[in-house]
Amino acid sequence: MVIPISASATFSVVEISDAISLLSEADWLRLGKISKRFSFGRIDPDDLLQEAFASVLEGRRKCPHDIDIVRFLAGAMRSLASSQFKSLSHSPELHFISTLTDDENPGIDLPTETPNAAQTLISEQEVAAIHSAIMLLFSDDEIAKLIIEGDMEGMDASELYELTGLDKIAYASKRRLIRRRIDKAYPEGWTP
Amino acid sequence: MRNHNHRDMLERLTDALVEDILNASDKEILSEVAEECADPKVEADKVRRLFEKAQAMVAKKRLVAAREAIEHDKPQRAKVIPLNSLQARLKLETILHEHPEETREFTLAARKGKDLSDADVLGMLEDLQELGLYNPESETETNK
Repeated sequence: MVIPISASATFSVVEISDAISLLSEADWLRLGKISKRFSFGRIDPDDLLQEAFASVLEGRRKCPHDIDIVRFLAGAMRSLASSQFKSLSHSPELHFISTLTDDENPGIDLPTETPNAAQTLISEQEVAAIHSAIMLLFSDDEIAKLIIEGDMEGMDASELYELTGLDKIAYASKRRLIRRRIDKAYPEGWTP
Repeated sequence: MRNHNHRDMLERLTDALVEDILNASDKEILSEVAEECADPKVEADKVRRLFEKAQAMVAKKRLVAAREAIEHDKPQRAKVIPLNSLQARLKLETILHEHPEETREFTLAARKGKDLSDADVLGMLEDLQELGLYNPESETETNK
């Protein structure tokens, strides 16, 4: 089915609603997986995704025509989660817990009830423990460890090709192995 | 310079994993979910239902906002003050007596009030109200 698109640079609320409702089964599954990743094991992934949908349907977030809708929704989830963690990191009871640095879109409330910040934010110690556990997951695979370390440093694909010496196909295969192993170890996101 | 605290590093790894999910083929995604759970269709439907819930929630919010806007724009209903015929005639007489200069334009018949219908009396009281000589609200307060 072809959805007629308006002349403006972004989808209207009706257009985006129609476009989302026509997503493929694989796209719905992608969104479900991504919500778990961005929930960091503490925000309800369903709430995060529902809020991302709501922000688009209410016109608070405008999706440009040239951006893939699933990618756009992923960005919305990332931004919402980041805002949630940031607002928690600034709440008074958080002074013993280290803070996040992402400044994107502060002040957007998620529909989830947050009992208190200490229960909701993963502490720096827990994050450090997850970091160690991830590296342990790949103790048998030096190339995978290199890629993960590169990811953590924010390296892009070209830098990682150079670092690992892998070609495009081998690199894609290794990336899939990394994600699959992490998905199995952390099916609900980064739970400590 | 890149931040090297564990949280930022984990966030960057998360971004890379999400990028990988976005770049994976439909076939890969479907087969992965099939490995993780019994039926990818059931999982996809769960996510679709979240979208439908968001649609319903947004529609409800719009409805509430529209209703509030209507309430806000609705004109205040005119206040009805009960006044019987005798009270009205007495009030008219009193005002005409108290304000002879301002009510000069009223006819002699009106001043006497004998041949006036109830509607005439009420009409004159409304005119006097417009002139600021009669305030029905203060009247009702007094009568309480």
